[in-house]
Amino acid sequence: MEILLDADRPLLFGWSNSFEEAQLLGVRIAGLIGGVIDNTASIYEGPAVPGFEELRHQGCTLEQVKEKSNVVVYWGCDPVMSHPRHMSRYTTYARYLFLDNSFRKRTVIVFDARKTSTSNLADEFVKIDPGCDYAVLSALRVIFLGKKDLLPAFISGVLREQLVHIAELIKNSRVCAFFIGQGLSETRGKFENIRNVVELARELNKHTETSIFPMWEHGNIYSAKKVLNQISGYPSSVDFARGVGYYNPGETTAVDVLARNECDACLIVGSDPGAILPRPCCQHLAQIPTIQIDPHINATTHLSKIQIPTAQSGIDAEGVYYRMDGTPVPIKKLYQSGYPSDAEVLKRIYIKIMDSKGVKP
Amino acid sequence: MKFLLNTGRTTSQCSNLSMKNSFEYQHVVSACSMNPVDMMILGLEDDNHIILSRNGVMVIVYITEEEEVDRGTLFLPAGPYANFLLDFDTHGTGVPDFKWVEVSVSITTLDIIPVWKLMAACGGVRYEG
Amino acid sequence: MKVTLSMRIPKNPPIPVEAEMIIPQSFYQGISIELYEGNKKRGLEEIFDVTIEGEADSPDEVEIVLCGDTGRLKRVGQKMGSGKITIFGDAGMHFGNFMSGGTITIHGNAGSWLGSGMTGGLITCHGDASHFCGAAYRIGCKGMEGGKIEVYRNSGDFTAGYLSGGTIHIHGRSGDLSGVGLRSGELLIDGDSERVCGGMTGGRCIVSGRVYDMLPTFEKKGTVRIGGKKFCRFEGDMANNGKGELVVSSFFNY
Repeated sequence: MEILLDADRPLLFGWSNSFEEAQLLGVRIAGLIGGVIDNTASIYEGPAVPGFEELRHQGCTLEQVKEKSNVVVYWGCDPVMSHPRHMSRYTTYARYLFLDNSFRKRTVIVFDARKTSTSNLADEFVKIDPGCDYAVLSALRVIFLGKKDLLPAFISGVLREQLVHIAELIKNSRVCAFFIGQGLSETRGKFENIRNVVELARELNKHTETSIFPMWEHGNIYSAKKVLNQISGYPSSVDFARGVGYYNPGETTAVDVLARNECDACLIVGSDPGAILPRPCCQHLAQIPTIQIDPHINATTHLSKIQIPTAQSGIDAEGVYYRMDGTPVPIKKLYQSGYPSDAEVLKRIYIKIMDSKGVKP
Repeated sequence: MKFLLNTGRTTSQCSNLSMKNSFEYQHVVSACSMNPVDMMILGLEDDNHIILSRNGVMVIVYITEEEEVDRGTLFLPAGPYANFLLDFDTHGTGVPDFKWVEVSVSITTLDIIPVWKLMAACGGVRYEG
Repeated sequence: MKVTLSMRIPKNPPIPVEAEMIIPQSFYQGISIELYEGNKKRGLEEIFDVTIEGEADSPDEVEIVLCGDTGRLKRVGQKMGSGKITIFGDAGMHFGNFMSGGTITIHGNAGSWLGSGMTGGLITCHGDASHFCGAAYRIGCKGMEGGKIEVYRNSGDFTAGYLSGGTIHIHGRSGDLSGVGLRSGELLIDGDSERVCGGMTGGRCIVSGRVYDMLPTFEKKGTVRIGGKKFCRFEGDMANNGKGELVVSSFFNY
């Protein structure tokens, strides 16, 4: 607690494996001590978040996709590997209420820069040159606007005719679901790729019903984004240094704050930056007082000064997790262990900080 | 020889997520997939060790043959080994370049270092539990 | 009036200083200047050695000179309307954002978001400018609206993103997706660039160097001659029904 209070620019990072209650306390602590709070959404699905907020794209639930969609597009993601139950529960192998023989009649289109396990199952696979997704997305938008003849014959390694064929498939679908992954949000262009895909969905909504889903990873990351959004108005990377929330990805994001050696203390809850952040960030974490609140001994444990073991969500702690479409899913615990949950640990820290700051609850 | 390194998540990596200091996790995240033709050109066989280097930083991983990986590219699960090579430049977006970074490949007989040693190279101290 | 601000040696780690009050207007009015170092409020004298010479009858006559480790300063010249700021060193982020007049001269490299949202005035950078030079913030959708930014070396990615007026002149190379979403105004790049002007709807961009990974959504409209040199003229971006003008010397991967 003293480490956090003494710091001029503390960073509170992680939150992807915690329950909503712990995330809420995290935002309150950040507000009290004037720190920067960031969740793992800013690194992996980061560009997707502001892309959606800026253009106000409204999604739907995965049940809608399961029951209604007859065209599913995976762009830069490999759900067979990253979300093993996704295709069997909600898309390709799921029963479709309004169509017989849904497995054969549902068209799966995969856009990726490499062959993946998902692309092997696809009806149409579009192999794009690495880092050229932006050009292909723009080309698709031009095709939907009816100007296909003005495009060159080859677009970033893709034949124009193949794109025209796919555009027809999507246009004639009843409901089309776009699942976008890190292959789109982490390549060249980053958030501009996401803007482009949201613009594409807007254009498509004139012809058919279209929704976009970022393929969230890291457990309860949707909740971390939601809680931060409700309190501060921004989905990730919020700087409370001046009392009010300030959001600017590229400046207040964890990778930038750590890599520029800006923060002088770090609290990590339910995440493992040692394994997911680039080397310069890990080097700075090792230099400053780093506190880790996590059930496991992981890569970050070697970088931190203090490690507080907690209960594991879904094993000996219970609460609510949020699915990638925002649907809450209750999680039960298997048994009662002696470890406190991360919310209990954070609550004690929060009360002590309030006492020392003279703030009444 | 120069290659484009791509990173991503794999199921086997995630099944060992809670045991990041175990040999199983180390074995999964240090498996670098390469096209068989590239392996033939470099004279590599399955499980041979290679050094990936970029901007003066190097990390040792082992090779697995994968026909689906394109020639001139490598695939490494997104873990501590892949992230050790990355730059911090996020281009003002908050996201480092996880995909398609250029690396040099050379053959070695050195052993793969465990995760805690990678963290120690970043300035950390081993926690033995 | 000449105000010289020399930065003191920072403690470790170097926490950035938010210094939006360092504008000629503040020194002309003689108000006490407060800066933020992380979450702590600091006085001007805690961070700088301050020397003030002469007096001024208007903010126009105030010149601020910054020297030392100025790379960790942020927001200097924010919303300034007149006067002059000179930086002998690197500039941090957000220099001259939302400024409406006056002059900023940077003798080192500039950080990201240089001159974002500015409506008037002149920013001259003798070194490199980082990403989002003159571009829009992620929450807003309008980049620079007026004035001029001149960068004598290279600039980073998303330069002049969503530019809505004014001129940006990059004498060296420019990064990926420069001029993305250009609406009006002019972007001049003397060196090479990548994927320029994606999603542009208006305005003009001239690239005198090579353009790598030229976007396929621009329509060729013949050639033009500028200064005796032949340039290829494009119109677009077709994906946005744009009517912007893109003039390039040579291009690849179209």
